[in-house]
Amino acid sequence: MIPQLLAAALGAAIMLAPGILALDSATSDLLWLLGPIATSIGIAAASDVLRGVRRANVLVGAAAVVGVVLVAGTTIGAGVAIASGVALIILGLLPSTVHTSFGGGWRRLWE
Amino acid sequence: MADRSPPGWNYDPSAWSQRLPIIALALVGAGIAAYLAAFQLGIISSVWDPFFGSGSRRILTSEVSRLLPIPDAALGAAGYLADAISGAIGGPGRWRRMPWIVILFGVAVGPLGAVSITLVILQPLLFDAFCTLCLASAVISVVMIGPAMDEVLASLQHVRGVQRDGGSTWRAFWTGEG
Repeated sequence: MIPQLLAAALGAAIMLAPGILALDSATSDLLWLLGPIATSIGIAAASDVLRGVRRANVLVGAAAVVGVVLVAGTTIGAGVAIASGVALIILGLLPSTVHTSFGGGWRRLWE
Repeated sequence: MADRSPPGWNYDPSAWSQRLPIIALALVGAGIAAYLAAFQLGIISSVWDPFFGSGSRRILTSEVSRLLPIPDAALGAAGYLADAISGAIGGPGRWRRMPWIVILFGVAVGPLGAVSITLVILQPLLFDAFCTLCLASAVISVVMIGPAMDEVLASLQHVRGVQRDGGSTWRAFWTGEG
């Protein structure tokens, strides 16, 4: 749960970073797009029953890293996007503690 | 109650202790959305925002907020009320006896969260502004998703189990019985 909450907090920080650091327009748009998504995934994945959703933040992190290269913004913007993207990837890949099996979970619906 | 727990679970996802926090969150969300709707409808002349100054006013009076015949915050308030009502109907163990209301509850909670996230993304992208209470409302709608989904999973597992045993999915959906 803690890595997911950290990802949620990081998403909020990503969302606020353009205003605080006065980043360029293209990088700001990228971070404003990805920040709320990362926060939402983090919050949802903090719940045991949706813990698998945390993997989606790997994609969000990758989008931040690849996206900032494509938009070719300022050095500070690139640094923020790449650092936060890598952090989201790591947080999304960390194993989650299993507290209950939920009777086989979502997989049981397709068995 | 252990006997109300779904097979393979160690708690009843429909217990009041599980649902009351979600209902309380939905009511708080409804209150925030109703306040924002009151501003959009001109019932109050200003809107409280401790962090982003005139950002709230800019967002709440934007063209996006008026895309539909009624203000978006009013729709949000209605959505939260639907969450609270569908969360409150039925007693413990409703995941088995009333799958329809549990799934309706999940359908009410999920899209509200998705719409909230979309609106949060649009705030800075389109208007270069944030709205504190809109963000608070969005956080509430997203926080509700996880706790609501365990009950939805239990109901879906039950209906699927009835179907697997050769029973009527339709009957199981409405009555819980196969």
